[in-house]
Amino acid sequence: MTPTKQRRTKTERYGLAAAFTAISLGATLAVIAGLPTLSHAETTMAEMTEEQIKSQVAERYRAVFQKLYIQNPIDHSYVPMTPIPAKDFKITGETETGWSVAHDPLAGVIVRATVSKGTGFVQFDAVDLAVE
Amino acid sequence: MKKDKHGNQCNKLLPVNIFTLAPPKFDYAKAITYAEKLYGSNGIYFDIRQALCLALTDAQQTKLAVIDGQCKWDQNNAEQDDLFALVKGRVGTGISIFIVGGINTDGTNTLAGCAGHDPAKPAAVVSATGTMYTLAHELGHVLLTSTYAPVHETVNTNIMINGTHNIPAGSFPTFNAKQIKQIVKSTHLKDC
Repeated sequence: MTPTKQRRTKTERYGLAAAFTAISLGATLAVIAGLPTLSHAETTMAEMTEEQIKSQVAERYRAVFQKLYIQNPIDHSYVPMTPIPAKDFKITGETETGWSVAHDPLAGVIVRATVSKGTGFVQFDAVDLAVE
Repeated sequence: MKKDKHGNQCNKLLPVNIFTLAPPKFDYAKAITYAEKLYGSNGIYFDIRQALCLALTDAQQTKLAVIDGQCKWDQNNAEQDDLFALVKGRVGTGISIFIVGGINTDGTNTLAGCAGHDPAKPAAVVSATGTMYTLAHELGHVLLTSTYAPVHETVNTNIMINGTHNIPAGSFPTFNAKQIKQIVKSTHLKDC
């Protein structure tokens, strides 16, 4: 005798479908609630103060570059990328989407970065060494 | 109307005093000609008031073989003060340019030039290991002042690029219109 799979009743099938739908809907809502919406981004990041923007760049610079060395193009030695205090950065421009921030000394590490107004993310556009 | 030797009209004079402490490894004559043409093409007469080679004592030679100290806006470091002490009484009107054996900041970073200076003593230091463009570049910093941004450009067709070693040999990098607009406001420029 061939074993056959026991069929669910109509009521059981409807119950399972309803439960699945409810779980999916709940999970979707939970994910959506966790996402930063455009209005959330606009009301927090876009309202960052100048100090906050500069701190954001200084902090990311420290995290990404502080333990690295950069080659001096004159004597080809490697010099440490020393920390740059937030106050030494300047905001050099602003667009609808972000702020341009730079550290451009007579001598030392040049940093040019963009801070997104939407996410607060820092993108380093250029990191170089000024030698004159 | 006064014209320079290259036929450029003089709208403003840029008086400079050049003091050489170490023989430059770049072509000095080309550096001067380039600076004359660069500033001259913008109506600024590159006026060399004096060009002196300084005789140093052994102690001075040792101490000033490499200029150490910070290179920052609007301040002299101790060895830049020593350079001025060497030419005390000889500096008249104009910007002083010191050509030295080498420049080192923080004990680690070798520089081709430094335009940081005491506001009362307009000056730039050029390393003998710089390029034929370094002198004109440092003068550009002095004239643009600390208030101007960007301090350095990113294209090698502009003399204010962050390293003149990036400028191809034989090319003629220039200032852009924004830089010229700022330079002609400099109080270091005199009437022709």
